[in-house]
Amino acid sequence: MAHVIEINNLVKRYKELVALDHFNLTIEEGEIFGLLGPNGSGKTTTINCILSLLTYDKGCIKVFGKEMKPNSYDIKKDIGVVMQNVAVFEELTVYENIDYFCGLYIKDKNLRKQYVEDAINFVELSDFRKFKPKKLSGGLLRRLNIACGIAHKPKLIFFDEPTVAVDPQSRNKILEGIQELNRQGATIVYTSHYMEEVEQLCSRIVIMDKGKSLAMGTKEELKGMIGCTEKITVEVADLSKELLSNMEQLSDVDQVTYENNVLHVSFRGGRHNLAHVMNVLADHPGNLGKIYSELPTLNDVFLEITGTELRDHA
Amino acid sequence: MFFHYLRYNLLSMLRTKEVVFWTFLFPIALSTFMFAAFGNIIETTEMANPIPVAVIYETEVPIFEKVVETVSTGKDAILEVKNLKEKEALNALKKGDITGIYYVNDKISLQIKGDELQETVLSGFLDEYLQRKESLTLADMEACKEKITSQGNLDNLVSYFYAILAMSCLFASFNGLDRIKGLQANLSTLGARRGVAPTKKSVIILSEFLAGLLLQFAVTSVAFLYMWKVLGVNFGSHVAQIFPILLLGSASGLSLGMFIGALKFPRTINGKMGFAVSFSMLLSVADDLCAPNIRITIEHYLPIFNRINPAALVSDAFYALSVYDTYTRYITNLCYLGAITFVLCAASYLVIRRNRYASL
Repeated sequence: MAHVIEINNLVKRYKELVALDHFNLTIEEGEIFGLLGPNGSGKTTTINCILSLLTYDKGCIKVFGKEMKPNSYDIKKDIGVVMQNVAVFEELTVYENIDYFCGLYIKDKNLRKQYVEDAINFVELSDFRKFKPKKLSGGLLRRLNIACGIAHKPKLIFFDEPTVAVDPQSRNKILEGIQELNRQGATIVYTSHYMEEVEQLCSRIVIMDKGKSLAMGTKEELKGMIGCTEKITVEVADLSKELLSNMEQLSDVDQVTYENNVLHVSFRGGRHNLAHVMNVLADHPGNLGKIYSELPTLNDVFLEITGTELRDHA
Repeated sequence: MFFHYLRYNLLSMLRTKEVVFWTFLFPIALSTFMFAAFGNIIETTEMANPIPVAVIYETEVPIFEKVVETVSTGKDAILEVKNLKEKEALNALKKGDITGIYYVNDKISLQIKGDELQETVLSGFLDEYLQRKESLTLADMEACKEKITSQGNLDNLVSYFYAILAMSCLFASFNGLDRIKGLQANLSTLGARRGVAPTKKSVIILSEFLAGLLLQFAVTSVAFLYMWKVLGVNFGSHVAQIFPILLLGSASGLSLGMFIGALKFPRTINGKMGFAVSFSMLLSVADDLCAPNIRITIEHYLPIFNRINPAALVSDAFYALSVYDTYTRYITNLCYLGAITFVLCAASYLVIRRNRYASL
């Protein structure tokens, strides 16, 4: 597969703060690639460096095999960007906004007209084509923002946290749309601090923190990097030390914690772990509350690598 | 594609009702207040008395002596020639007993001190003489006197209306700043979106500039027509020639705002707006908006400032149109305005083309 993006040894400093610290990245054609990390981890800075909006101190960035510069118009024509903040003209209608931005890429009037219609249908804004942005809800506005970024049918699309402050229904529409764009052949670069979205969408993921790449791979590969394979949580009051000791002696147990009447038991492997936990708790005289078993998440990967939860930052 | 961008830029501006409203309203409101306050004293001022001058002959120039004699005699004399030696003349000028001194040698020059109207008459007389000296007849001299006298019939407050129109042109700088804001990734998300597009900055800047210019020219033209037709301000007989002043004045104001927007400092859009407001007001004050004779004083001590101050150039172009028979000074002012516009636009383009930012 061809490399769509290659970043080698990228360093970006904001005065004393190192925003990107010898960052390396390769994105292949046809991927949905996720940049996952807390706010301030360097996701947007990475995108802005790739797009040649930001200067950087060191390193090399290639897009479609060519070095990316501010006047690399032949590269830029195949790139679409959906900004983190909505970037549209407040005074123009939905149709006019999409037509204007599509016109920055597509010169042919008839082709542009068709592309604009396609974009409007794609984000399902047909009923709102004459609306101005201030009349749109937050979700619809995000969809307009997306339409402005993808109307020219680019081969590479950057989505920088496109679902921030969006209701669940609109969020699902946006995520489905991104998957559809990928199916149509576009390579997607997706940034988010919502690990569920990244897990749902992305074929490969890089976990970033403080400008560094902490881990990179498919979600299975990332989860394989940590010891835990299953987490069992039980709400139960007044557990004795003896019972907790029995719990720790179960086979494949990685860690047992008991705080605020909630018991967490994590396993490195094994089968029927929940049944074993329940067997130990059978000797406990009190009632049990909620009981659930979870597979490890990317947050667990982040927790294991950094010692803090992704949610704490976000 | 240029017209595609131009169309949407214009649409976007025209639909920003607050901006359009205030841009239109401000010069109209200010001129209305000015008219309400001073309307009863806006009246033509005839040259009631001849202007006292000294003529220092270092070389004999009979034809000039004859001309001076002609324009300083009779009921409609425009000059009152005092018989003074150079040192006495300089003292008299310092005290304000005379308004000007003509030095007659190989070249005839004028040293002046007085109000703007009298200075205009004295320099107008000299200009007229220098242009016609090779073929001057007595009839010409009488005509010259008549013309210079009639040029003194200038509304003594009309210069405030010039200053308002000049300020209106300078207020285009706010629009210019807004235009450039939408092109810079560090100032707006729209700038970021347009910065990643494969469109040359020169095309986008030109479309933004032209859209801003069309709006601003319309605004200043409406303000001018309001002052002329509704308030009855006497702008003289060269009305058609006023529109090029408004066009180039608006262009220079717009390009000034674009240049401020393109500068690295101030960094924020609010800082840039504050700078644009302060700078525009400073240039307007230097153009007599708040008090008379500031521009003349600057002309004496720092004339280059008046050559690079768009407000002063706009006012002076109006002034030249009203006072002078020829278009030399008027065209010179227009050329300066055009040059300022070109330099500021080119500088803005050079700063923001292929720009990458240290932070967004």
